[in-house]
Amino acid sequence: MLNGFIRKRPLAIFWALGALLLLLYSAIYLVYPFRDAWNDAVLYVVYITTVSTPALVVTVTLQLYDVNDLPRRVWLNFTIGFWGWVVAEFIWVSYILLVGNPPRVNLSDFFYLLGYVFITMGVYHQYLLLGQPAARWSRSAAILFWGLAVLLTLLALVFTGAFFDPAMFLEDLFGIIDLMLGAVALIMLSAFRGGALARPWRGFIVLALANVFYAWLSQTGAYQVDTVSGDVLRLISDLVYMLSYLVLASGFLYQYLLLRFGPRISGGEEIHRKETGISA
Amino acid sequence: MFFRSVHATARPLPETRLQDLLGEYEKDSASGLIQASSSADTRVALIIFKGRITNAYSISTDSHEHISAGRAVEIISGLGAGTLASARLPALALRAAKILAEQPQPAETLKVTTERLHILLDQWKQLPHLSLATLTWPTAEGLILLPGYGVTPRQGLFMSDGVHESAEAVSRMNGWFEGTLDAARYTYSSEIPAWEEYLTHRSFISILEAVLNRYKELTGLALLNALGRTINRIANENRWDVSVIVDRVNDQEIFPGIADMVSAYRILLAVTYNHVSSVLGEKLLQTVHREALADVDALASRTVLKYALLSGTGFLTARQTETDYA
Repeated sequence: MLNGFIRKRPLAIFWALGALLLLLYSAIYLVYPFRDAWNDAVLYVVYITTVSTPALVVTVTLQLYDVNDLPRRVWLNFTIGFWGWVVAEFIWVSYILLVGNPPRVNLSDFFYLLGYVFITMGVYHQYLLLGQPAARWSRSAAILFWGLAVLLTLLALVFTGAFFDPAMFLEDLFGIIDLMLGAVALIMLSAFRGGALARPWRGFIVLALANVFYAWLSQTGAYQVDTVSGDVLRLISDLVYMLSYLVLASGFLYQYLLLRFGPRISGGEEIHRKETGISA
Repeated sequence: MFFRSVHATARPLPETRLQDLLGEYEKDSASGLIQASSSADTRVALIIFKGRITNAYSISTDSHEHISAGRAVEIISGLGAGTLASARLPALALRAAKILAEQPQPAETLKVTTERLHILLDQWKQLPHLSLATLTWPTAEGLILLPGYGVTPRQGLFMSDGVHESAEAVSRMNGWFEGTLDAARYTYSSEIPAWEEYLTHRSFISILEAVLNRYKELTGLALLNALGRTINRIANENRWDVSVIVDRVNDQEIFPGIADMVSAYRILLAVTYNHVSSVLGEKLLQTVHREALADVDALASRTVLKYALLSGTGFLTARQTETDYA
């Protein structure tokens, strides 16, 4: 009972704070309470804070692993990957606040790419841990993952006639990798079906869906970079994107609580109580 | 009499009172072996675990009888001239004593020099069955449980001035100063309850360690230690001398019989499997379970099935019985 309470309370606090961030973002976006530049600055502080949560929680979770623990490799790669994304978001926001519209290909893309590389490395190590037969083909699968992502992106560009456009290439590549990560997360969910270790993987699926929505708005030109317009579609896209980061972070927080306090046991202790009459 | 070397303090009957001796064991919550012998070739052995008699045997040259503790006390009290010997011993010696009490006739006996002992043990190690080797020097005694099939033995005892276990025991045996010894080999038989108990104990450790090891690989030390704490707490609540340290299982409990042993192991394995399932999920637990069974030897996995050690874990469906234990 105490175990359940310890686990639920931090998650409830986390989601209360997450909801507050989303409400704050919506209010600042729609009401526009500050003068132009300041309004954007406050808006993006809320945004950066939200998208930093997975990186923060993953970093804390990593501390709970022993240096020799094999799963530490998974979480170390995730930590580097998610901080890569935070740096990328920070650079992107800095461009908007300082220059206005960011260049189509800029430094943030490097950090996004770096983040993707490390996150797929984390997934690769998780596959290795699943053991035979997964370990046998996980290296080939990781190579295939990136090969397929690049190929699909190139095909998409050929079909849209934007083959030589690096900005389009990166935008499509990130979208495709997000979708593929979502697919891999589905496989992980299946591997850990019913187990507590499945939780962190749910966030990747939500992130993939959020990126599909963003890509759709972006490709159709419906996504307004300018926040002054108060465009509701952009607000929804931003909220879904931020929500996906919160879902990711809550999954990682669950992992942290699992490592810190252990799982909630039901069946085994029940058998023990029935057979011995001792309440475990 | 087994373990003569540690019975140097055998005291004469009837001056030495059994009740006083038992009282000392109870007061110290000690474990050991008490053996009473009369001149009329009546012999009674008492296995004492944590101050209480768990098993009692009436033994003659070629047979044994499992008797109640009360009956054993009665027989010893009625003995005329004879000796009463007592030695405080670790769990492994008590398991071996039970085997020796229930299987009076060895499969093979021979006299060897200490120098050639390692050659003999290497030969016995290759035999296609589990066996117990007893090695008796004039002033020392050794015990080795040989898994057979070429597997290096992990459990051994050497008793002289003190009791030495495992690796230290084997090196002491090979370097013992007395030149010759009597070696005897007792072969595993499923008809003998003490052998079944030993095999069940070994199977339980093998399967639990295999699961813990894989669980550690998948989740890391933090969750492994959480599982270890749960197992230790439940063992402690039941006063079973079973504990888990990281991914190693230390089972020093001497159960009165196979039924109590199986009941305890079922609970500990059920708790383990449920914990692992709640973290890894049912599907991955199935994989961990299959890998654990692949790690243990055929005899151990047959014992797991025979005594339904996994009956509390939901892993004994007919389909698994066919595939996993085939």
